[in-house]
Amino acid sequence: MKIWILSDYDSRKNLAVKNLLARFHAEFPGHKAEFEVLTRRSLWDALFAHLRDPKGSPAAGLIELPQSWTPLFSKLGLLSDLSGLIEGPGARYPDFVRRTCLPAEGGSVYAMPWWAEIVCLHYRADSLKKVSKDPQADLASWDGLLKSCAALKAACRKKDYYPVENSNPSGAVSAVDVLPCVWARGGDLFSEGFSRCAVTRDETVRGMEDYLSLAARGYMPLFEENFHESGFLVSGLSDLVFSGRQPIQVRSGSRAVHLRPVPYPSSGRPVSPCFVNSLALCSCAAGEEGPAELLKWLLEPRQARYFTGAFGAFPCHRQPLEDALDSTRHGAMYRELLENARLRPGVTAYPTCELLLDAALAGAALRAAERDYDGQDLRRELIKIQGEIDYLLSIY
Amino acid sequence: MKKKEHDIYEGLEKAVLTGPNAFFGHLLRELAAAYSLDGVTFFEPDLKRSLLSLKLRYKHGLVFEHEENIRLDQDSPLGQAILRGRSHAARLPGMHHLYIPFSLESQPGAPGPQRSGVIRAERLHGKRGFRDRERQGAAAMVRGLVRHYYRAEYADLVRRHARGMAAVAELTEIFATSIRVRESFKHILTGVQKYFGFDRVRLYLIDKGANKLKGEYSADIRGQVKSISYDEIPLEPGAHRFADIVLGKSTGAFMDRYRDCVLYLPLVVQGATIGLLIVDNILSQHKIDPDDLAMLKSFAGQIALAVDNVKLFDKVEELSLHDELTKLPLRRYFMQRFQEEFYRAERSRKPMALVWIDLDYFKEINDTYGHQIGDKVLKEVGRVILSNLRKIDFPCRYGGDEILILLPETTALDAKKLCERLAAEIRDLKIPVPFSRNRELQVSLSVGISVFPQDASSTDELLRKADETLYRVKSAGRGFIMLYDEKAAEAQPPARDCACPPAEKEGSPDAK
Repeated sequence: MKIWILSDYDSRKNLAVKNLLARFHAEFPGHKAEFEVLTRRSLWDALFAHLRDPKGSPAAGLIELPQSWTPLFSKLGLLSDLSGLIEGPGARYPDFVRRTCLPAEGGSVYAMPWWAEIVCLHYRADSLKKVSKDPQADLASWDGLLKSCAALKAACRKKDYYPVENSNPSGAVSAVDVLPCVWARGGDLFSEGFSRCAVTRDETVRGMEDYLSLAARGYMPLFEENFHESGFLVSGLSDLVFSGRQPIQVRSGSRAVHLRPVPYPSSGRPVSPCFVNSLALCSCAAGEEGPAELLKWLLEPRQARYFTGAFGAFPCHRQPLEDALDSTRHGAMYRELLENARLRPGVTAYPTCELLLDAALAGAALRAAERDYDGQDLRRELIKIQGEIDYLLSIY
Repeated sequence: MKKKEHDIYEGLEKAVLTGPNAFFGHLLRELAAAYSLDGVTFFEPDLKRSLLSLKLRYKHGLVFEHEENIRLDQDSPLGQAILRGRSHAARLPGMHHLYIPFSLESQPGAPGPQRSGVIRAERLHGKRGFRDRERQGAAAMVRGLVRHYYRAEYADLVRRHARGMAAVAELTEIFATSIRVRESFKHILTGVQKYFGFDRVRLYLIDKGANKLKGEYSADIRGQVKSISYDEIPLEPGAHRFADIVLGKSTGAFMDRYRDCVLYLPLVVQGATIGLLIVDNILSQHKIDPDDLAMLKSFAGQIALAVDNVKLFDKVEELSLHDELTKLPLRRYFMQRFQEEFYRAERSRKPMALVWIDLDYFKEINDTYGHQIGDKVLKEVGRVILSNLRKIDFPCRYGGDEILILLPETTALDAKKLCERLAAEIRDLKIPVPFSRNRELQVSLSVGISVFPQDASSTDELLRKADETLYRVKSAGRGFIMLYDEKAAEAQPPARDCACPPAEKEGSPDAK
C-alpha cells in the first residue's frame, strides 16, 4: 500500500513518518506500506490526475490532506466515508476541531483530523529586550510589530538581517500566510454563508497588504537561499517568526536561546489562526484492509503523540493535545487561543481560491522583492479571482 | 568507484522508465550514498520569473518533494554556480555545500530552451568539507548521470503519445458511430472528457428558431453527465460571452484570463456554426496542455460533424414517428406506447383514461374552405392539445381528424375535466378564413372517454369502448364529451352549445 504525505517543508516530519511506518510493519507484518512526500501542489495535481484517469494515475490508499480540501474531494467522490470504520469520531476531538472539521452527528466523515498548527508570533526575548521594555505588549498589535521591526532593523548592523523570518518555505507569500492578517482586519475570503467570494472586500485586501508590507518595508526576506531548515532565526539573521509549531530553541554562539510565542498581532480584532491536516482513505482503496488498518493505527494517541512531538506540531485528538499543552511552558496561552481558534472553512471552492491567491501573492511578493510592488496590481488580480471563484461557487 | 557506477546504472534503468522525478530521485540518492552526504538538493532555474526553484530534496535516507524559490543573486554561491557553470564548494553557517551545475540534454530537436539545473550536496558542519577530488568526482558523477535524462523525458513522451494515439482511435470510433439519438451527445462529451481529462466539458447547440444557444449536456471530471437544458443564452452580441464567441465578437480581456484553463470550441459544419463545445480546468487550475489543445482543435471538425449527424438523425426519427402537421405522434408509435402504459397501469393498479376526439364537421370544413384551412385547424388543435398535457400523457393523430390521448394515472372525472378544458380552448380558437363573411372559423369537438380498469381489461377493449362512446356522442348531435358509463342525456350540454356544420355558423364563403 502507498501513502501520500504532505512535505510541509520539514524533514523531521518525514523522518517521523518513516519511523512510524517501521513500527507499524513490526506490529502488522502482513501490511507493507511505502510513503511518498509531495508538496501541496504536487498532491493537488496527483489527486486530479487520479480523478481524470484512475487506472493510469493510481492514487495512494491513505492520503494526508489539508482540512480545507476535504469538502471538495469528498464531493468529487475521491474519499471514502470513514463513519463505519471509526466509531464516534466526534468524541475523540476537542471542540475547535469538531466545530469545523467534522460533520454534525450522524453525517459522513471523509477525513480524520491528524495534526494542527496554532499560529503565533515567536520572538527572541534576548534581542527584543534591546529595543522594547515590554515585547509582549508591543507585539500584541500589528502596528506594534512594525515599530519593533523598525527598531530591530535600525539596531542590527548585519547586511542580510531581516527582523521577521519568512515562514513560507517557498520563499514567497501565500494565502495561508496572509489569512491571519485578513481575519485580524475583520476580512475573509468568502462572505457569510459562503455564497460569494470576498477577496476584494476592503478589510480583506488591507489584511493582505499588512502582511506584504513586512516584505515591502524590508522587514522580511523573500526568495532568499537557505532559510527553510536552518533558517534565518538560527543563523541570527532574524528575531521573529510566525509559526504554528511549538517554540524551538536556537543557539546564539555557545548559549541556547529560547523563543517565546505571543498571540498573532491584532489589527483591530484578536485572531487565533489554526491550520489542521487530516488523514483520508482514497475511495480507490475501499475494501482494502491495509490503509484502513494504518489509518486507525496512526490515529491512536501513542502514535499521535510521537508524530506531532517529532516536529513540534499539536495533536488533534483530545488527550494527546492535553498532554502536549501540559508539557509546554506556554500551555495556558495556547489553551486560551484554542478557545477561539479559527480554521479555514469547508467550502468546495476554497482550495481553488487559495491556489489562485497563492499565484497572485507570489507575483506581488516577487515585485516586492524587486522593490516594484504596486497595490493596484494585486487589486486587479483579486477582482479576476473573485469573478472566477464566484463562478465556481455557482456550479460546485 | 567502478562497482558503484555499475550499481548506479542498474537502478537508473528503472528510474528512467518511471519518469523525470524518479530519475532525479535516483540521482540524489546515489550521490548521497557515494559521497556520504547529509543532504542533497536539486534546483532548476525558472527563467520566466528569474528564480531558481528547488524541486527535490534528499535527507534522512528519503527523497521528497519540496518547494522553495530563490532569486538569482550573482554574488550567492548558487548564483555563481549557475553563472560560471562550474562546480564549487562553500562553507555556510552549520553546513558545507558543494554546488554542481549541469545542463540537461533534451531530445534532439525538442522545442524550448536548453534546460539546466544545480545539485547542492550538503554535509553538516562537524564533518569534513568538500575536497577538490571529491568535488571533481561528484561533478563527473552528476554529469554522467544527467546524460541519461533525455531517456526519462523520452519515456514520458512515449507514454503521452501512446495516450494520444489511444485517444485518436477511440474518439474517432465514438464520433463515427454517434448517430443514435441524443444519447450520443453524452458519449461524445464523456469521450472528450475521458481522453483529454478536463475538469468539465459542456455542449451548447444553436436553436435557430428561437435565436438561442441552448445547453445540452455537461460532463464532469469523473465522466458523469448531466443535462444543462435549463441554460439558454440569447444569441445576441453582448448578451453573454458564449454568444459573443459564437457570433465572432468576443472581447480579449476575459479570454486572456482564461486562456490557459478554458477552451471555447465553436462547432462548424459546412461553414455554419451549429454549437459550442467548452472545456475547462477552472476548478483544478491546470493549464491545458498545448498538445491536447492542438489535438482537440483538430478533432473539432469531427465533433461538429458527429453532433450534426445526431441532430439529423433525431430529426429523421421525429419525422418518421410524428405527424409533421400537428406535431402529434403517429398511430404506430402510439400503439407501441399504449401497450407499455397499459402494462404499467395493470402492474401499478392505477387508473388510465383513453380519450378519443373527433373534430366536428371536419370534412365539411375541408370541403367548404379548402384543405389549407383544414390543415390550419389541425395544426392549431395539435398545438392546444400538446400545450395542455402533462409529460406522462401521450396524444396521437390516429388518422384524419381523429385524435387519441392516453392519460396515465387519470380517473374518469379528471379525464373529463381535461377534455372540457381542451374543448373550451379549441372552441375559443379563431381560425382566420380570409374569404368568409365572419373571417373566422370556430371548431368544436366530440369526445368519447373510456377508463381502465372499470370499462375495460385490455387495450383492444379500451379502444373499442372509447370509439363506441364517441359514436354515441356523434349520434346524439356532436359537440360534447361523454364517459363510457354515462348516458348521452346526462353528458349532453344545452342545445345552444351543440356543434353546427360550419356553413350554418359562418355563412357561405363569399369569396369563392
